[in-house]
Amino acid sequence: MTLAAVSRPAGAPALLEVADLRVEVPVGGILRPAVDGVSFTLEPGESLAVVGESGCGKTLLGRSLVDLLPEGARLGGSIRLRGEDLAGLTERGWGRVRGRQIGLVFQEPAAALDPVRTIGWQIEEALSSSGRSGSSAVLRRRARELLAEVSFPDPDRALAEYPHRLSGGQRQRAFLAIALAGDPAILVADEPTASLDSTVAADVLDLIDRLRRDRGLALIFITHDLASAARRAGRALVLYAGRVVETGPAAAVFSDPQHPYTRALLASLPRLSDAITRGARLSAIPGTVPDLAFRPRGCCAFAPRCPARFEPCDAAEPAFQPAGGGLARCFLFGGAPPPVSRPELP
Amino acid sequence: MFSLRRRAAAGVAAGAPLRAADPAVAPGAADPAPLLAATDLRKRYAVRAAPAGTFLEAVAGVSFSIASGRTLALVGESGSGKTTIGRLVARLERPDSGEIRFDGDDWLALTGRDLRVKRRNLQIVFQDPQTSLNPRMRIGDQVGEPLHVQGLATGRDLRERVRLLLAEVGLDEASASRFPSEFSGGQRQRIAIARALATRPKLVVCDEPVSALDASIAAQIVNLLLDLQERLALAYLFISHDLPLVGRVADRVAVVYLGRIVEEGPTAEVIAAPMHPYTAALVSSVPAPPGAPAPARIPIPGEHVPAARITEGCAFAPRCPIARPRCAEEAPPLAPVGPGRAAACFYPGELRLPGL
Repeated sequence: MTLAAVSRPAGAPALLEVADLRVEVPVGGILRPAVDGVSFTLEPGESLAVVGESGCGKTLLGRSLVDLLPEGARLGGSIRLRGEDLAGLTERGWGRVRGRQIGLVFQEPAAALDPVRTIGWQIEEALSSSGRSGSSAVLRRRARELLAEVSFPDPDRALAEYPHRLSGGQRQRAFLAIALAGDPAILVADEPTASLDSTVAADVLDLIDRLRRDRGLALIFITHDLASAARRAGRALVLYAGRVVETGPAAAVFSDPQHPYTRALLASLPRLSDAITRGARLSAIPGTVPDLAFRPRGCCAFAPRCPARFEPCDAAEPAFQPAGGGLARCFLFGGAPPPVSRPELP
Repeated sequence: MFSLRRRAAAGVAAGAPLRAADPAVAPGAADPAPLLAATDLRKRYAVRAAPAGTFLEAVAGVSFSIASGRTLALVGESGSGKTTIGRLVARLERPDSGEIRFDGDDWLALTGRDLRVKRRNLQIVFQDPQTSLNPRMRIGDQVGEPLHVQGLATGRDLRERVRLLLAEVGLDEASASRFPSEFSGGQRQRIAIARALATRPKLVVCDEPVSALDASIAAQIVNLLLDLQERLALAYLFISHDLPLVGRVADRVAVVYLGRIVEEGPTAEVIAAPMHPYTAALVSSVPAPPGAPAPARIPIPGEHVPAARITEGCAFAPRCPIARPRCAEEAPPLAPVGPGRAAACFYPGELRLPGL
């Protein structure tokens, strides 16, 4: 089932094709799968929202695409960029991909920016390390263009500013300018607005969306903010305990969720229109995402927290079934194993 | 400690004369005897790496009150001063000037034994239980510590009280012998709440109690806070940047911008029909729920930057879509704009929410 058919010559490889991706991280000396069998494709100008609670593998999924996994982690499956498998790349090979093909911005721009260098210096550094040659005047002009592209109010002044002199929203814009310096085809944005105030966050999300359209950027938008994801993404991937539980067009997944997990996630969001119901309880999901060391195997990982749990959920792991406008990994939509026949009592 | 007190006392004496129960500055004053009433609180900090005498006005004349068993929310963006206000109320910091009456007492004047005894009635829950809990202390000891320090329980009685407190927040008895690192973020916040409840307070300052948690887990904690409020008749000062959440928990809301309350009133009314343009922009920036039509956003240029403070005029004027010359010259006072409502704007209600 294709979820988004973007025109591309027959037989040509997708911009990005992730197949059966598996990221194992060491927990107490044992490798445990934190991302387990994730597959998707991405085309230029497309945006994919990756949502789920903390601990579901969203960030590791994003970081695996730029080879920034934690020490001791092991990558499995394949990541194909225009047909080339990145999984076997050397550090030098990754250097040609990271920033130049796939850019990354994450939550805390303050941690990504060098506090003792000006914004201009850092963008110029990103430009030259991504293979741009030219005189310092050329690099400076390009840096200025990038700052204007991310809607810096005063790009000339910003070139000479240090990160601590910028507001949170401006720092995130500067971080975006650096990520775009290598002219990547794909941008991984990991919770890009989680540390920003809501009025500023909305501006930054609008900016990222404009960059996607103007540059034809393929966007992977990792977030726990379902309302923003629903508004801005083309497709959605809902992760639970490292596995995709629902995928499809974002509009369908978020307005008509199928998997009980997606439904519960959406139901737990307080809404402004609820203000008249002061004191009304929120719809919480009981329990927590299972710890990496205690992930149930051979059954549905969400079953212990699921309000719709029934017998098959504990007997086998569900496969994807067509549901709503997409796919859901849940026995409610079929594929349940036949009931175990009970031996007749004599 | 002594010198700190003396300096604060001098600050009060040197500060502007306190405005008494003026309905314009304390709109919650309709309640005859609120549990807590703060009047004209001010707090400023010297800015390092700036010319001497440069101050950051974190709290610039804030008044509000909270009735018993009710919730007042302080909403605002980071740097608005809402956390500082909470810290002043909890007496973690002294205001430069202003007055707080709490439970019949001049709260800022209490010292020594009186303060220790009265502190039982006012507790605080912080955003990040990771840092507010001691990583090397067993949960039972941490939850029981306030009872022990206050001399309220010892021995078997203390252990039994701890067991009941843990049960109250949905944790089992076995949790008492474990350490914070063995719990998830949501469970750690439950522990922090149990600790805050140990002395049976009347008011709990909740400083962004769920913003470090996923919505699914935040909902559990919010429900717990609502349950406890009903059961124990708790009042909350609920500090948050999350407007939809505030709609669920707060009877009244005060919107804070650069250290000032710019709007105050019953939560549902303020969210449905904001009177201050900043409140309108804030409400319009909340992403609409999936499936609902997306209302137009009121864009406000620039950012809430605490350092770039203006001395005259309305603090919001530089970003305000309806600002006029007067706004740059004169600061609008927080004035009544309807029953139980107040706004600090010369043109209240003029900027309407799109689609309303």
